[in-house]
Amino acid sequence: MASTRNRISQLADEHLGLGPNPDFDAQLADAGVSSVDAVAFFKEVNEAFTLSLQAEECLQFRTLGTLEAYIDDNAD
Amino acid sequence: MAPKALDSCWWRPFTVSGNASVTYVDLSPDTERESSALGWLDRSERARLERIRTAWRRREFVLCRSALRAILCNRLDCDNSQLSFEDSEQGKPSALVRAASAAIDFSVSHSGLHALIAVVKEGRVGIDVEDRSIPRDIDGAASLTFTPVEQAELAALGGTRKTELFYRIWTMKEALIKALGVGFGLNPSRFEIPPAMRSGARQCVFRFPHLPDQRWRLEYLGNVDFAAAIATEPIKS
Repeated sequence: MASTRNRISQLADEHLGLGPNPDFDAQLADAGVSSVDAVAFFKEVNEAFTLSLQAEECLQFRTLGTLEAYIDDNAD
Repeated sequence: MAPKALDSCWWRPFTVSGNASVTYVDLSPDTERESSALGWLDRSERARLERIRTAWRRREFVLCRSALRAILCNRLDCDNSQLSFEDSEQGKPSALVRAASAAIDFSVSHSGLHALIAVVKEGRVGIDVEDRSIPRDIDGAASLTFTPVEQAELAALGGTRKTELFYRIWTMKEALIKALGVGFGLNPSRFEIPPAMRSGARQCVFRFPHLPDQRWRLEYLGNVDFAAAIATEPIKS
């Protein structure tokens, strides 16, 4: 199974256009990710990792790195 | 630094909504403007600019922040060097003059080549602008942020009418959340945009279900170029 980082990278590339090797420490807003794109991206993250993140939780993840840490701690 | 002559500015008055003045900022690529705008930024803003990876996002930041500085200096009657910003825990920025909190609230939003800046001297304000022409997964975004009724209305439409309704609802929700100052700490799927506003009304009084005593003036500002909305806190006279 692909690592969490690889799966997030793939989703971020497909849905946010961040390329195949996104910077996990960069602020998503500084990378040009809009709030509409971010919410739609987290819907995909919910499905891919069997999570049920709500909108107010999603936008607390300012970087892909914080999302990766959360998933490693909480995903099934 | 003195403000530039209005005809050479990348910002211009857009409208007045309630007690808020709204300014439009043109984010079209223009190296002369960007170079001039850079001169308005302080050291911390330049450091932030360095961390931004994409050229268009850097342009967005420098043109918006310099316009915001010029507007606030004018409203607060201060020099650019006396003005700084700090962020709340929820990420909402506020203005400081000579390191003291300034009696002013503002909200900035940008999308594509468009940005809007709203400023009020009393109360709170939130604004949102969205470029409808940028391809986005609007069904995905709506699934996490719209109420079941709003999602059903969206699902019944297609093409440009669907896009129009999505951005109409989205910008009003985001403007309200930004005015409240909690970011997405408030789940947007837990409050509904009034039916009249969803169907084309331009203005209403809005109350959050969990804050029924607080009234907000909600206005849709969209035009052919972009969707936009503003929420302001009515001033008690």
